[in-house]
Amino acid sequence: MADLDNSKLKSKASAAIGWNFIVLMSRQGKIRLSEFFSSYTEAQKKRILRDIATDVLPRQAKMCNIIEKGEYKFVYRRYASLYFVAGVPVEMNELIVLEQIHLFVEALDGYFNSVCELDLVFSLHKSLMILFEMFIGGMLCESNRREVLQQIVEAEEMVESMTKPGEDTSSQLDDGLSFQEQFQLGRKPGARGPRGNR
Amino acid sequence: MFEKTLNDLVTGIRSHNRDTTLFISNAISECKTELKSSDLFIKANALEKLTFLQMMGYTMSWAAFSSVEVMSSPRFALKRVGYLAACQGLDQPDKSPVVLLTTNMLKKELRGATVGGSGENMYHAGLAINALSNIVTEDLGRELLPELLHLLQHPSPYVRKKALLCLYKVFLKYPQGLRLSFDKIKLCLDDSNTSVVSCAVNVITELSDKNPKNYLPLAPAFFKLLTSSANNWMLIKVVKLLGSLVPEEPRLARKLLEPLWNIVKTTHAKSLLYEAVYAITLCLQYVKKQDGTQPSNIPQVVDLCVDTLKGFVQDNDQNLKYLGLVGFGSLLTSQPKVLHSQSECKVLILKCLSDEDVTIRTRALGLLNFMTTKRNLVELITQLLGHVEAATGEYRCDLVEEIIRMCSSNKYELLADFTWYFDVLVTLAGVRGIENQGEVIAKQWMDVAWRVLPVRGYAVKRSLEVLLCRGPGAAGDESNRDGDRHILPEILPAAAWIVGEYSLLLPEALGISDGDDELDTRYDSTTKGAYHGAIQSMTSPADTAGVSPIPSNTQGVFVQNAMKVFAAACQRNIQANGNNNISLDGFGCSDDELLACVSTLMANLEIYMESPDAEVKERAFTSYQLLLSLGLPKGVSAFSAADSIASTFRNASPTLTYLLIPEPMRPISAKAQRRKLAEGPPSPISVEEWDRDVNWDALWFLEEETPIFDRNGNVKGSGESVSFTKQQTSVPSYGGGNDDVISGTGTEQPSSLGEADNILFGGTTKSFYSDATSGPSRAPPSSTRREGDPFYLNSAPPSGELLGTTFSNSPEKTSKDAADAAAPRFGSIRLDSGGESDEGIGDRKAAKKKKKAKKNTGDINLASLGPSLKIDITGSDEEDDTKLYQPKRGSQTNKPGRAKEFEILAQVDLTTPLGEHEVMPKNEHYVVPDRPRAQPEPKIKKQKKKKDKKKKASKQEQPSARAATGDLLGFDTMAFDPIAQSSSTQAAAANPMTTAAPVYSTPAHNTISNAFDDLLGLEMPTSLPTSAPTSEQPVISSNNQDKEVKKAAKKAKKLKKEKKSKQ
Repeated sequence: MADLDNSKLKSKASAAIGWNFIVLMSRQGKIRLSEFFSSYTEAQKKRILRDIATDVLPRQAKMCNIIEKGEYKFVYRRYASLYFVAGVPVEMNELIVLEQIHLFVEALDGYFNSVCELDLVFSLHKSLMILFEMFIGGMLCESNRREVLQQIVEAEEMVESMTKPGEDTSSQLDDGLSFQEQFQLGRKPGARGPRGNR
Repeated sequence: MFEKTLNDLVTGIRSHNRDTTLFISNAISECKTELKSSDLFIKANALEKLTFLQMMGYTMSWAAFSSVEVMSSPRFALKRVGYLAACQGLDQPDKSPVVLLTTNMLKKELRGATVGGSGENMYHAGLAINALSNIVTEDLGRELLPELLHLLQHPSPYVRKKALLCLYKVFLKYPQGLRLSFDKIKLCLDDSNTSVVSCAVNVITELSDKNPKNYLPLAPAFFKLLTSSANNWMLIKVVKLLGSLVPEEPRLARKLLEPLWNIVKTTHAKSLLYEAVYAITLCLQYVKKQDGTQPSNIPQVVDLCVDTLKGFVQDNDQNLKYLGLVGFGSLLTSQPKVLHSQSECKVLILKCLSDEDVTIRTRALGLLNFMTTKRNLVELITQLLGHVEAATGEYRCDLVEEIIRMCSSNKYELLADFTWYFDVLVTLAGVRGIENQGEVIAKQWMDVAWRVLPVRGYAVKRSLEVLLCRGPGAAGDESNRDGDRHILPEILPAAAWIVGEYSLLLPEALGISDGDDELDTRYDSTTKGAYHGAIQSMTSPADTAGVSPIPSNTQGVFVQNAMKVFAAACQRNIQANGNNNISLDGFGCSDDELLACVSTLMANLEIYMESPDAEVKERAFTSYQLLLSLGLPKGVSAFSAADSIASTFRNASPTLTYLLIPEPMRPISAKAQRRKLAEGPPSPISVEEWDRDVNWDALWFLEEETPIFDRNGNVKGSGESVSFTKQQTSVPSYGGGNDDVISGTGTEQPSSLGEADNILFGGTTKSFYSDATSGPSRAPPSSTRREGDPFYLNSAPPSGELLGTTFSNSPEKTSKDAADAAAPRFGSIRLDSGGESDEGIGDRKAAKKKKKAKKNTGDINLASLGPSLKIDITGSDEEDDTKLYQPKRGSQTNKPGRAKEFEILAQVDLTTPLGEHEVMPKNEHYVVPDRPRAQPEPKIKKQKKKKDKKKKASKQEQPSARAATGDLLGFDTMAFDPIAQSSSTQAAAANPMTTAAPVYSTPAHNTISNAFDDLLGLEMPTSLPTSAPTSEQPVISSNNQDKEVKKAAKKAKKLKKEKKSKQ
């Protein structure tokens, strides 16, 4: 029995620091955003998503935010009913991943002006934009929150300045909710007011 | 016409809860039509929707081309949509031909950033870089590397950062680029902007993960960063990087201790604190100096680590608790004894075992190994056993694995009481839901039983108990037995083997009283005694079929070991009779019991003979025939004369003992086995020597003309006619066939390794001997008997002739050829041909060994643990050795995907200076040397041109060739160029015939514009003006082509406008 491997305990000196993937999943298991930075096959992606649904969602708030999955591990953070799950190499510092996730959420929040799940649902492309602005190949580009937001807003202003009003509705600085929905949310249509009754 | 916007799509999906798929498939088909539109806005809109659907799991790879089109839009808003769609849609960029089309577009964007430097271009470049990092391929990487490197000097840090990070992705696909550009990356470490430095550290850290050696020269620079920087984000990366360099350069470990110590002391950020402590634990593994001494401050450093980690574990934050445990794990690899003196930590870690979080429990479990000592082992294991009950799923398996590991590590180093350990194993065997650990437990079970002599009796007792508890239980006290006691199925063969192999110890085993209660040896209400009970449980007909039949290899083990138990019963009976004291010490084997054993065996073996599994069938058949040949009258029942049966078997006892349990198996140390193996096969022995060693007395019944019965008790033939090759009637007068067997001769047993083998040889030789001298009379071929039996599937006509030639057992084939033909197959030894040929034996032995080795490659068949096992052990040892290497090899090659991806990158060596041939790939227009104008046969020329291109490719000028085709399309027609490019290549490649002679006059011109019109859905202009003067020249310079393409594009635009105006 001496050959039972101790590999689980071996501290590996390794230094991969990029995310492999990030998945935003709602409490109900709906995927709100998913981006795979490393190359995975479709089957692997499906498995990862399934793993997230089975492993991450049922965890209670008291548990730690890390789940080891062999080659990678899930580090997740929950915001309201939305889970931000990052797949990172085993060696990566979990706390820094949590920080990075939070930075991403702050960027979203700054852009959408107090972000909610619906914002992400209706403007996936924008949240993806923000993600790509912040992370290149899974590596965080800028750790300064203000800088991140400034870049995003600047890029967005370009869209505005280059688009004549009414020509491209989908890329305006509007979160894309229909009028009806905006009413339901207690907002004035067309303008994002201060944090309402959400 | 109204197209659905993304919002409409999302609301639509949300409102169509029931038939979402239908709605989505409608939406996708709508998108398809929208993508055909010529309006980029509509296309972009469709792409936006598709991007959303892609995230929901629908593929959008078919829209890749459209996304490239939209990417080329001059409008930032549209372009962004296109780039995003490309990032998401081209998730297998290596396989997509569309990726090549983006080359020039990306190049233009990247160059654009350097030209103006204004805000706009910066973000355009940013988009391009984002996209590139997602869709980069080897070709793209090679093409765009110069541009990316150029961007590293861009005035805006925004671009510099992005370009840096993107470089890493490029290197993954185009590892050769790393050597060319590493100097530039190094320069970025001194950048004025800290985020750029941070990104550079990022990239180098990722790279060093693949091959740390390359980055050792950078260690001083990083060391400076470590001591000077205040940015925590970056510090963490630097610490990580330096930590990963330590194994390559152990001297670094001692140097790092102090700055890390400072960080630990001063920092408030938990993440950095953890990273620093973790790095220290890594360093501690390498701090030993060359002369074996440790730096003097090590104990303080270790104490600091322990304190910090303890703080983590104590923390309420579960994440910190987890990290603390991980850190301890790393610390303990270098300082395994640290925890022994820290009783407080032990308590904390043990507390984590009952944490509700599996991640934490698993980590804590991993630490137990370092906390166990001889003194606390029993206590710890008892605690763990309690946890096993409460645990679920994977964690339960982990617990069991850990328990076994703790007890068995280093040859049971920590274990003092093996009886206790066996009890633990029995408990584990009864745990549900740890099926994948069954084999390990079974191995331990056997290992302990055969290596620890003092507990062997106890092991037999517990094994018997396990076997018996499967029975229905003695009538009456059904309630006492927990009838649904769960036993791991893998345990059963181990238990059966222990009971069988050490069945001579049964009385002794039953004599052991462990205090609480006597073992109830009754299998069911008819059980006569312990032996009978064991046999009953091992040959229970319920195992072969019924609700849950046990696996066939377990059945095989059962049959074999039931026979061993029977042999032991016979011997016991003799002893009892000899002493004239029926109840020896209360566990004798009375005649009645013997009779019961026989009848149970006979009845159940018949059932086992029906087994569909060849192994079980064969064993059962052999055992059955053995019992018959020993003189058992037919129709044994419980009412037969017990004493006559008993006396028969008393006579047969030595035979049985000799055949079945010649000598208890002994463990042989691995060294001894290896030595034996090194000696090579034992020198061949002559038959006379075998004769001396083999106890022929025990095989008396072979000399007898024993009638053989079929199922109904009719005489079928004599025992000797049961030969597998050829059948014969005459028995060779061999050996001193004396019938009066003295009881006790069976004790003369083979004692050395080789002899066990010899016995088998003795047996086989005998039959071969008889084969060689076989007379002409043979039993009828079995083929005739097979006819009409539905079991046998007729694949060939059952002709005796055919079978005779294949099996050489037909009666017609009596000639010598037949015997010769059979000889090589069975390696017969002819005594009459002047004794034994040495080679023959050697060969056969080798063959036998090979066969055994083969057998061992699969699961180790417990049933083969017969007398010949000693050799098996050497065999399996050898097997183990090779197996040790195999998985490693396998893991290297079989590691899918990601590991392979990094493999090449890891091979890049940055330490050697750049060679002269290593230069950045340059893009130049390919200038075709002048050629004579007259071209009589254009078709052939075209092929030549292709060949030329191929040659170019081999000269590593392929990129330039492609660049040329790309460039000549001109950037001003950017909106169309991807189309044109792809179609030209496609058309040229796939359809060279159409571009042949008639159209040939303007080859480039026509193919491009035609295909391009096609794609735009325009009517194909039937006759394009072929007036371009240069077009008569098949090999045209790129400038000319350029012009032509522009012309074509203009024409197409015109056509398009016309069409629009018509509409």
